[in-house]
Amino acid sequence: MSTERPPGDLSVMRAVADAVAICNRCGNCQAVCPVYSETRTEPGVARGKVQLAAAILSGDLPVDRETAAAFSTCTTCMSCEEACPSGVPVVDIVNAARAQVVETRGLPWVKRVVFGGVKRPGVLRAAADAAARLQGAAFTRTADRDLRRLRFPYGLAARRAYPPLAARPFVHPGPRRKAGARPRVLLFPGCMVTYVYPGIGDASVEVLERAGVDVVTPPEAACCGVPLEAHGDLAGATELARLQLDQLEGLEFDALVAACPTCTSSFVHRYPRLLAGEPRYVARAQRLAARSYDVTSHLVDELHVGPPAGRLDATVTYHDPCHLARGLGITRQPRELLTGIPGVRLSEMREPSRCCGGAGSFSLAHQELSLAIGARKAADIAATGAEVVATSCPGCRMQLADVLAQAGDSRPVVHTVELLAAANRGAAR
Amino acid sequence: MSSDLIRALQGALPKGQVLTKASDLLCYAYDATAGDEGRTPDVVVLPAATDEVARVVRIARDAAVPVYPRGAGTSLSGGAIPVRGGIVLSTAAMDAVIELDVANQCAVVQPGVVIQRLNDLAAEHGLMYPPDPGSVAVATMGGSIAECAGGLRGLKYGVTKHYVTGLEVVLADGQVVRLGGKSTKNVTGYDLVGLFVGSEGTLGVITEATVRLVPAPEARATMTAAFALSGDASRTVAAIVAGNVVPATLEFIDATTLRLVEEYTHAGLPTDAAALLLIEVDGPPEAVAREADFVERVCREHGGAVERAADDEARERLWAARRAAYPALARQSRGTIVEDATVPRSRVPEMLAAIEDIATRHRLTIATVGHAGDGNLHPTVLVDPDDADLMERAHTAVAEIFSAALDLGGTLSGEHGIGSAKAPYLGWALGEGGLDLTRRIKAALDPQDILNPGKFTA
Repeated sequence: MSTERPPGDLSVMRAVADAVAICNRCGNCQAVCPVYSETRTEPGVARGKVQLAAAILSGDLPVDRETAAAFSTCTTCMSCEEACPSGVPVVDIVNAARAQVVETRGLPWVKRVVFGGVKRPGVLRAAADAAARLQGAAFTRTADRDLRRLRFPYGLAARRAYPPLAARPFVHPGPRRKAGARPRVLLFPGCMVTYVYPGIGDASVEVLERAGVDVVTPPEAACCGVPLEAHGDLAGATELARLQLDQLEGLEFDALVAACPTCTSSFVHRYPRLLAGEPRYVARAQRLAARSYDVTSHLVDELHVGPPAGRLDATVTYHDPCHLARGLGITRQPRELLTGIPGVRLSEMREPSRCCGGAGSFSLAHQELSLAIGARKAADIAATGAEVVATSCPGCRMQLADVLAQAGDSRPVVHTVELLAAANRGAAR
Repeated sequence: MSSDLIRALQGALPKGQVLTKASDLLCYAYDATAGDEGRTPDVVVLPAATDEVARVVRIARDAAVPVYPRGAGTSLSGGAIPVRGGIVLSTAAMDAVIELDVANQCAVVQPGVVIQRLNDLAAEHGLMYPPDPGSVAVATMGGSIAECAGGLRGLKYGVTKHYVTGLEVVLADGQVVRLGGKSTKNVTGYDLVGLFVGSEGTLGVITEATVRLVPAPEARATMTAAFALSGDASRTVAAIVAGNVVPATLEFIDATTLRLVEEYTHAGLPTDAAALLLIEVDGPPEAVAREADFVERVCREHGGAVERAADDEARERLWAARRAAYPALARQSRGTIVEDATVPRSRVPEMLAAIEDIATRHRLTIATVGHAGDGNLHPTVLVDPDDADLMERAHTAVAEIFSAALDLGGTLSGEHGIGSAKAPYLGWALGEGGLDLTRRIKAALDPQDILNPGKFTA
């Protein structure tokens, strides 16, 4: 491929030009890529995508819809980064290519409208509220009482089964002021916990409070911005990063904790990077990063939580979310919490940190691929003989519930903190 | 390429198995070879069965268009690069293990099966498939047979050609032939299986293979020995072999590699050593204990500082330096040219000296690891594809490495193949007679020169 100067403005891509250059095309990423194991084609795997990024930079590949489609087949699971001998930051490159397409071509109108709403917490809340009230008309119940299918199946989403939107969004105002020496945790719920799985929020509050801290939630349940960045809307994602910092400014809390590792990694990794060039924000983003935690690691490493009050006699298998295991390096803490519950036996599945194929809207845009990746996970889960599946991410939970249901498997899928809360309540399963 | 040809391919294969989008084609322009410009193919086909491969080859034959067979694209000699455009034929989707025959200790596989997967299945029966190239976790059986891949166990277990007993091949005229079978002894006619192993896709497309499996060793013992003088390491290798002990692994790691690995891993490697040997013996427990004691004694007698693994955890630690060699080199340069010049075992010290001299004269960093037991060295030149001057010096150095290996009675390539990268030097090794015979075989089987053209047979 030529090295002449590319035509047009490729400023977004040029920021990752050095990262692209360090790939020496060994192809080791083929061993771990969940997309490649289904497609067995080079455009599916990191090496192919990095070479396409090189082709954009050299002007050999135009920045258009076809290119956008090529970069959409990635779950950003980071397993290639872990396996890469050269340390290529593949997810940064994939996100840069997606952002370059938006920079050059603009957002498609549907995404413009949707992301416009997501960026305004009031609109997002009103839309979710309306959707929750109207979903009875749009969805039918499936055999599994927790999941529903679209009543009028349209196109891509026809086969998927979703949990219903929450009748009431999760929110926990908590005590208004810091009470004595009791530490104060700001629980960042994120969209999934707020609107789909409020039970994860309730459980987080319970276990955190029992561990001796006060819990409050932010004034507005705004999106962390990852879905926008994943679709290349860098400006929108940056706007949300600023919004989050602005709304947290002046709030009193000792630690920010989230039960969604994608949200957590936004505070820990993404915001300092997105806002690196903005003097008004960068120092605040870095300070916040230093006191932001996943709920399981905060419970174990910071609060040194003891075993729950009750017991729970069950064999549990644990799925490691990509953004928790590889994004934040957290695999030990959720297992310690689970095995600390009296009566719980942990039965490890094969490749517990292999991507479940959920990856947010990837599960809709690439439904067949997502279900095929998930089917492997469902088989690995079934092979453990466990009665309950635990994970530490609401997105993974949604995907796992769907792929298990597709396989006719009625095993419940829960967040780690929900099992802790259940054990505290002495609820037997 | 004409749109007629694309239509013919689309008519011959199920939907979705013919790729024509620019973004798809760009992903089949390269393999793992460094510094190669590559060439975008006109179309990529993903056949799922032998008859689909045959149909593609017949269409290519009728149109006289090149066909480039491709497995996982991990060749280090440009074996999978479509240098003349045309059709890339990926066998990655043909990935069924057709039979694991425990009674006959063999397996029948499609070409897209990843080597490691075959090994995982064989392990369930206490068996193994010994060839283990560095790319074992991703490389396919088809690609590794076409390239006759080797690996770390070559000294004791041999290389790919010692394990292939049967093949199904689609010839350049689209005819399907089945050669050999499960018999380990077979002198029925020419050794036609042998003709295709290592033929680098220039004579036919492998669509099925029957390979031997062997009992996996019951026990193993692992140790490293650090030497202050590189020559002592070489003399140690000679003394081990002279004692009629054949280690499964006998790896040499030079001072440059040790330094780069330590900078990358901070694992506490002996960076003051001139060379490190990684030695593993395997077999029945009694033999392993006896051989390991012998090897340890020989290492110490030659001045080696020995560290012997007491358990699996310690074994992993000893292996870490070797495993980290490639990542360490890859992370400390923008590119690497990994060569595999091979010399008779006794000439390894002279070869190492020659490589050091070449590196100094051309102001290059060349890190050498190698399979010391079989004389197969991997001098790895650290390069930057964007630095034209550096690349030119690197290519000159590589040519001199080849020349030195041949002068010592060695050969151009132990296990990576010739492909396009080493094609200009083939005559040095084969001579006019050998080149002529190569071309006559190629012309007899592929008169139109449509199978992997532009490589070593050009």
